[in-house]
Amino acid sequence: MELDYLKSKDLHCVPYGERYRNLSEIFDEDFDAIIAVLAQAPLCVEGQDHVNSRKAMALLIASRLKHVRNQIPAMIDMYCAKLDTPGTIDLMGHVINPLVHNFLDLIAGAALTLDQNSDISSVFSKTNGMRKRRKINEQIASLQDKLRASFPNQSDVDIQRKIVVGVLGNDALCGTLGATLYHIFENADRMPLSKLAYPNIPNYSGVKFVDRIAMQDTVVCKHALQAGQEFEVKFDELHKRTTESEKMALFGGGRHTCLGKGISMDLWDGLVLNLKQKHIMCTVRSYKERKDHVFRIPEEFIVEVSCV
Amino acid sequence: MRETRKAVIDALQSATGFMNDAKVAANVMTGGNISFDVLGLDSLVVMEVVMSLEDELDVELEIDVFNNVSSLAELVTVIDEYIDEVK
Repeated sequence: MELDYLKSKDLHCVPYGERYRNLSEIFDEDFDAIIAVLAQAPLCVEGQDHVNSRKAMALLIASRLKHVRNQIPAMIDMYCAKLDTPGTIDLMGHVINPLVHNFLDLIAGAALTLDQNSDISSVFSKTNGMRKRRKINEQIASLQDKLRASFPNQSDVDIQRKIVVGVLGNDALCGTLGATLYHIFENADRMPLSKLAYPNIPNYSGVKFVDRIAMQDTVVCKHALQAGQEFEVKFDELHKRTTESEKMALFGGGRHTCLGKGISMDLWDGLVLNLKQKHIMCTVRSYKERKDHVFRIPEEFIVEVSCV
Repeated sequence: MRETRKAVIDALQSATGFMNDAKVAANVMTGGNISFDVLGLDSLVVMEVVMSLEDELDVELEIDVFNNVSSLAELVTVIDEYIDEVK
């Protein structure tokens, strides 16, 4: 059902950049860094801007694909080796977050220097107050400055596209891997990682919903929407979906389908392959999700690693 | 609570001028409540109020502190709870 909404031509993405521009004008705030980056994010634009930004981001990812694929197994081995020692481990802090940050750096071809305190993905939250918005703008501006220094021959737009990789990928991927692994481990019933059933597609989305706005009066899935009406396409029931295409809604659908879908699936497949070789048990000791309007992302995911 | 109430009143006054009505002002200044139904709080006014409160209370707030609150007293309570939670 999610896909029907996402594929509807009558529903457009919410113009996040335009909204930041309006806020900037009304409250005399500087959101230039955010606005510039969102202009390069295919998820945030429509029409010809969307075609152009999507093509450019697809080229960026394609140019990095072979290198990233080659690096994935060693990268996963390195972070998952932390599960080889019995004891308590902060799975988000020591495995998932650094793995995702490393992965996104590889895709962007740049050190995005993301960490658990990075707020850049929160740019999409409608509930942000002004302080959070300023903080996000500062983080993006600072990242832009760092990348400009590292890539003096690249244009601002090229730099902004690298940042888009972090903005769109960070919380979504950390959240998806974290939430999916939590549900697998929580239901492990003292079975070793090697014996657990892993879904072929991560089945808990780190993205709770995507916003859409009706461009005209329309009906989608028997749901009447008026022109201008906003609607949240929710992803909270992916684990109940049965068909492959329904499960793939994790990556969106239609013209805004995630461009990182293929390479993210490579990461998931590599992670599953690695975990299936581990004859240890992971028992969830504590799990807490961050209070977040947009993302389902664990801020605490502690597991006890023990021998079988 | 008193500091938060004063900050909320000041922020609402700055954004809406609601205390310009003498009767409302007298009620609020003597500890009374006021329903938000009469204030016409749209999303921009809410953002302006949140901005003022963030500065005055030195805290990062989300605009959803306004969700499910319908009066001055309720907003003060919610913000105090939020501050207790994050600090």
